[in-house]
Amino acid sequence: MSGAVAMTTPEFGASPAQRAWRRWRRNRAAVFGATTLIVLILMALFAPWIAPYGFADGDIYATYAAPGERFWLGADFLGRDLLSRIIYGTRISLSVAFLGAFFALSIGLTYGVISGYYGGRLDNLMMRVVDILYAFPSLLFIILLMVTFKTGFGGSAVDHPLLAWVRVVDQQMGGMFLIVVGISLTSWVAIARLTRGMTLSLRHSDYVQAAVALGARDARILARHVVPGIFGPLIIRVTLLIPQFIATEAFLSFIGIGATPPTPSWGMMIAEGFTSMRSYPHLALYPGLALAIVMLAFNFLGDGLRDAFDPHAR
Amino acid sequence: MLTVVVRRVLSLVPVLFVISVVTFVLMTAVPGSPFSTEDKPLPPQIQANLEAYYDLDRPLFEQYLTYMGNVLRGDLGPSYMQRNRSVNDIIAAHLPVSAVLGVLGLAVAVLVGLPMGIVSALRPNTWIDHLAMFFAVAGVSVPAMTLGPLLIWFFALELGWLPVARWGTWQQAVLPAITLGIGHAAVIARLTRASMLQVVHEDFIRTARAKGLPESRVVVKHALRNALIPVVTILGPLFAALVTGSLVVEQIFAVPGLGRYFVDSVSGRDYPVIMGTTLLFATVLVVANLVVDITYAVIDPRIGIGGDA
Amino acid sequence: MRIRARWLTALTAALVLAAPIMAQTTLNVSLNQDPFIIDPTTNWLYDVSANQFVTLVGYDFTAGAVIPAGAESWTVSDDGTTYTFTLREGWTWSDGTPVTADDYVYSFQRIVDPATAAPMAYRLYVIEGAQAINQGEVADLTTLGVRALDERTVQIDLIAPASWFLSSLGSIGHAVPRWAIEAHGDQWTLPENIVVNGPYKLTQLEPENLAVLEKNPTYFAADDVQIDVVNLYVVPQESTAMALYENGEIDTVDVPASDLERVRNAPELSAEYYNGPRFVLYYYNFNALQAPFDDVRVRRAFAMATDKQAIVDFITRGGEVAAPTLTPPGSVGHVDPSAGVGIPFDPEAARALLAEAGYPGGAGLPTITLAFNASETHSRIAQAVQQMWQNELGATVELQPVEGSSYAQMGREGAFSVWRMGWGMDYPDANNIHAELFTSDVGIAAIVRNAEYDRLIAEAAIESDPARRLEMYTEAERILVEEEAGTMPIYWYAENLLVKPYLERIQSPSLNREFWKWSVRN
Repeated sequence: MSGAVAMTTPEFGASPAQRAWRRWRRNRAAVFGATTLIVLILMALFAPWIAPYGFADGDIYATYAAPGERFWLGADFLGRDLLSRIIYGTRISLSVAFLGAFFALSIGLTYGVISGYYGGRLDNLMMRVVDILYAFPSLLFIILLMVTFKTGFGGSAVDHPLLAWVRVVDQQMGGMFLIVVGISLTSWVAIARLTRGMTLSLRHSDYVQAAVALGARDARILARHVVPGIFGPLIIRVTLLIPQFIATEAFLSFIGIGATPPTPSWGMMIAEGFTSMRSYPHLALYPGLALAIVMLAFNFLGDGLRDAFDPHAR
Repeated sequence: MLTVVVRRVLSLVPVLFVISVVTFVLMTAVPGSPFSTEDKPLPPQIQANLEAYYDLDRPLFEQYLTYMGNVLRGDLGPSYMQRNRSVNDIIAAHLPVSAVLGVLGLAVAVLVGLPMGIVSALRPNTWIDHLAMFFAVAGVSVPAMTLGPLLIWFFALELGWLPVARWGTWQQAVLPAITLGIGHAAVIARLTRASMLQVVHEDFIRTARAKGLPESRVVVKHALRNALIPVVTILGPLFAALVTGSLVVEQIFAVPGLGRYFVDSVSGRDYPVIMGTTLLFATVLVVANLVVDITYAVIDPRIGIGGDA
Repeated sequence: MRIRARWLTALTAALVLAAPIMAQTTLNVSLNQDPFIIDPTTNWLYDVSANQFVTLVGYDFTAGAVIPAGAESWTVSDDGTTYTFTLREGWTWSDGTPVTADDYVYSFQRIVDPATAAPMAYRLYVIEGAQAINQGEVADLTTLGVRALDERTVQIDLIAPASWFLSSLGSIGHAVPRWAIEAHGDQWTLPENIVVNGPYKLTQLEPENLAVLEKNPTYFAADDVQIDVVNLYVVPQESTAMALYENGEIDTVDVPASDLERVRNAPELSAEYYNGPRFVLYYYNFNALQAPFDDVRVRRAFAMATDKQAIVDFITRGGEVAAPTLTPPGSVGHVDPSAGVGIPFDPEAARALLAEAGYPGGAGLPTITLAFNASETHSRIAQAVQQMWQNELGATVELQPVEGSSYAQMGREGAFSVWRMGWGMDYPDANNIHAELFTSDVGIAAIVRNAEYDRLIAEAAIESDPARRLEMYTEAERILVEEEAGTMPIYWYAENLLVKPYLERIQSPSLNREFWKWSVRN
């Protein structure tokens, strides 16, 4: 918190967001994380101009080529340039990360705060729903979802235009659409539970009680006291969910229903590379390294956001 | 307190009922038959014989009722893939293995993650903090399917300290437990750190310090207790997930656990196994969450269990 | 550090090896599927069943001949429809009961009985009465054309002469103990209940983990069985099995494709490396129900644009053989490559043919879905083929990995444009491929139909002159693979093994490992 100590005198006229921005700017790790992510986003946007080769262009005579002049990070089992695939792969991994985190956080936070803050019967009902969703093995749900959509209902009569549309979208996105949907539909439940637990705890804290006693409106209490109070751990939790999303995607590839090849998903590259780790370590190593960099960036950013938004970090 | 616990346990019944219906509908809606092999479609007559053998030629509603009736009598049905084993047999044989491995993994996660998080939070932004968090990030970034083979290569093949894989002796449990636990240790470490940092600025901590209580007492009695709430929240589901088995770790280390049944049963359309594992998972999870809620009440008496305090 | 490491290894080894008594020969191998499927009359054949039960006759893949097994001799009637087997004398089950002709009759009846619901029952439809019983039209099991003439004589009547029938008995019709099955039901294969007449007997079984086979002293050739105990460890991940082998925890292993290069280049491992053929076919089917593959020219063009040699050289890399035709070498009915049957790799001719079909440079081709059952190898090959078709023909190819059991059915019904299949030979005869996979009777709607092909296969099945049969199969392959290009054989599998120097592993291209033929030197 050494960086935050200098902030003890809040400037008059500065909004909370402005103050948060200033606090955040001082945090070098957070700035580093954000910069890295921006670079990665740019890389994803301009992949066709940056990557030396296309992600699906293989040279069958150069399979398993070691890192060298032609392929900087080596080539895979089809003679495709690993570096190019990693660069294109940022598109996949970042969209899974951002979309998954966005849906998990927005659904989970809203649901959890309402349930925890209002308590009573509503809370009971909402938590029963969550209990049921939660007790349903999320992996089973995702697998059933993938299998049902990908096998297209076996050409049976149940071929609604909407289903056909979903399948087309999914194919266009290299099989990532259903993965994101599955992840979003299952991961918000964890966030909701966490939010509700912390909201319950805060609900009884002195300052929320005081605000209630002063007759503040619920919306104001939630926005000013509850959400900022729980936002820190939530952001951390969400940044921690992101590697789980990417791991889920890798797992689905591991059991053969993840991204559709030749989509260059890092998860799939790791899943494919790990079996040949002893013979061709570069195949799993570099995508793994790329994954670690993204994770570090998200974590630093999450830390920074937490410190910036935490009203108690003085 | 006791009545609340009983009420919560009873609330398991509707949860399991809803889950059984949803699972049944979902799995029977998924196309495919349990009896076709990948290489050759079976002649229709063979298919029909197999369906009759397992009563799959009856209407779905009747199948469901029969199934639930058997479940109430404690019989989870046969497995289509292995006809001389019932789902009860499968769970009895593999759940204990997964449970042992899961508890070991959870122990690794908590014993590594919690101290790391506490130390980081007590010395924020120092090199200790940075180092611990670096390891936490690294731990979370390396998927089990990469970490497992790496550990096998290093500790079994290079150093010769531990066996490569399989299950039976304690040595064989070490590598899978680490592979299973380390990623979660990282999650726990980061969560503990975040939540500790949040708590140390609360008024009651400052009051405790102002009262002149020794720092160790402040940390353990006041800060940690409150900081543990978010950590405990994730322990419930984590417990359920680890104890019912992890496919990747079990496959890599050839551990005879329950994990593969969650996936294989779906690909093989082994309906009773899908239902059985789902209901089992749900039960373990609901119970684990109940324990978490009770733990809340113990850690923070202001929160009641059942959410109606 | 070094000493401690050794001490720990020794401790581990001691723990692992604590059970067997000294001077016994023990074999440790891995198993990639669960050992629980044991009853050979209710399921496909796996290692654990093949080593415990005995068929009437065996098939020696090395010599390419039918050899005696449970029957010491047999005769075939002149019309080729009646087989008479004489069983060995003085041979008993592991509980002391003599092995009789009734045991074999019971086994065949049990397989075709619809109540057993055995998935491979259709393979016995050539026997008199089998199909009617299996389809529930006739309830009386004794109407099956398998009868005991006396204690030691089994007679089998076929509906038509079938020269391949004898070799097919190498993998179906193992005698099973009726009294044990009636006493214990489905649980009869548990170690405490099992009764066997083969070389080994199951003594320990831990699901998903371990099966222990011990030499059965009542087996008729027990003296020739050298290995006393076989420990089969369930190891689903092939890279883990490889590590177990390198650590000396198992004695032989299948080398994963990605480790082949390392094994060949390592001095120690390369000395333990074995490479040989396997009787397994890898192929793609074209869906003739929909455009563009309803046009034979398009099917032929795509087959011509597929570089099979590059696939085996650079993708699979394990000494697989690019397959111009379907039936693998060493089987009856294999077409010698010198006969020139099949579609060779010729991208220029492929482009010309595609243009002729109305798709010059791939223009106008609909998106092609190439499906495969999800697995790493299939995915790699599909990605390579995708590239070939895109580069050579300008086609847009979309890959569709499909998991699970719906796959075969979907392919059969025409859900994909092209789909991957594989076939391991149950017996080394072309009939096992054609009659079970491609004729109209099989009911694969999406594969192109050809009446002449159907006729040839039906006639070849009952033709007794070997030269004439080979001619018929050659012509059949020319029609299906070359002229119609209904299916595209890609390669025949290869065996890639590591075997410890003290183990002599009899290499057999058959699907199951026959431990009773192996030996361990001390």
